[in-house]
Amino acid sequence: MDTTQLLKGVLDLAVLAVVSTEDGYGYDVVRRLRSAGLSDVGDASVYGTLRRLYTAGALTSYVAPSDEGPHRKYYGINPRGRALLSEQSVTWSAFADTMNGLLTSAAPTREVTR
Amino acid sequence: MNAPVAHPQVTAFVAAVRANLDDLSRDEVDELTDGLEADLADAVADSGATPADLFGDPAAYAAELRSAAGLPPRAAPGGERHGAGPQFRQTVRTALDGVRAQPWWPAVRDFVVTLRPVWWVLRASIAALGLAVLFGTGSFLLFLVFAVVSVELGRRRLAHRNAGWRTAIAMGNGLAVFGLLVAGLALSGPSLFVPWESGSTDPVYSGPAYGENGIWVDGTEVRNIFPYDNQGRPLTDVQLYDENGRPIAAGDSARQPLQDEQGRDHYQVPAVDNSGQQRWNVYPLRQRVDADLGSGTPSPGVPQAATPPTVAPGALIVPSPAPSSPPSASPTGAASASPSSTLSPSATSTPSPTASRAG
Repeated sequence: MDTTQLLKGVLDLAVLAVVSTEDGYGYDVVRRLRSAGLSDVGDASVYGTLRRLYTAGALTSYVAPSDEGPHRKYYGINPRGRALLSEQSVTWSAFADTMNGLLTSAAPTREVTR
Repeated sequence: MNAPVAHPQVTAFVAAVRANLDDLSRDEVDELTDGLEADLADAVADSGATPADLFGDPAAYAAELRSAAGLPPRAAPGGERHGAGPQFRQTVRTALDGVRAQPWWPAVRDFVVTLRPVWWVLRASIAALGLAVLFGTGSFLLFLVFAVVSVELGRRRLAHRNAGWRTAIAMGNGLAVFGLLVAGLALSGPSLFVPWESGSTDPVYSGPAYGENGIWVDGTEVRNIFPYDNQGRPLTDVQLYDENGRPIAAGDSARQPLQDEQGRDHYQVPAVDNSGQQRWNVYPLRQRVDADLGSGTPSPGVPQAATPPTVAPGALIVPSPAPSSPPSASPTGAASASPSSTLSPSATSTPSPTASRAG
């Protein structure tokens, strides 16, 4: 199954979760998502998501100037983002439980893989 | 993580991505691509692949970026665009992207970005100076207050990209740049702001411009000179020379007529020496009034002695024991320039302005 389609629905949640642990700039967030197992995540999608969440008021942002190269733009979570994160987490958990229950009852003899 | 390093190919790729976003507003494009170069440079450094292999087609990358950011897909080329002068905006953006794709651009941009705080303080000083010039009051304290506000505005702008703030600050910056230009003009051309008639005693600004001829006293040109002898009696046909033997002649503008309220031209008439030369250093210059009574042909008047100014009566002078010797340089040179040349009475000679005027 193509995980990129699945990712589209949960990328906001994934990005919020990563940024909530520690502020990060674009590629840093991409790397943390990939090391967490979302290896198919597209970097442009993450950057776009970060900017959309920022525009929506869920993230703060600041620029870290660099002496040698281009500056980095960092994103951090704010109260509104945390509220969004907990709200979406509940939604996701319920959804995942539903899906797991559905798959377990539909194919009791088959091994359910991730 | 180390500091991101500028990568020419990444810079070019980001420029191409921006070009594919050019149907969006400037703010949106900035918002989407701010920091992108550092992110891509890190990704390249991480993977070791070339940007083209890693990110693929700039157009597809831009499409993914804007889609994830919740922006509409790119408008069809040539389709309707918002804002005025889309052609012009397109041209400007293409040119800017071309500059951004240059290898030297990151270094230049970062250097300029480093100077940002300098600009913040500079615009504060411009604002303080502007107030001082406009209202005549200003203080260092005012400048300090402005500086704090300006720096704080600059920092907020970096942190919050609120469109309203940005517009307000952009307008303020424009005003500051305008003030800077005015100040630059004032500094480079003081004569623009210090008129000759200001009564200043500074010889640089109160006198004639370099190369201007004639005789000047306190910033205004002398039209005529009225010499008196040591008994206070007015003299006529006095030839004046400077310490180098040069004739002290009336300037070009003193040779032009002055018009009175009746529209008559008041000419000054030079003396003529025995070789027929006009002599503008013989004082007082005589006057001639041409009456123009509306017939179109002015009738030249007869030169008459000029009336000495009533404000300057000749004084009685005590003879000095050792009179200074006249200049030995020039009066012995050309015969016509010599003070010893005889002057024909100008009343009987034909004044030359008549001839030129009648023509």
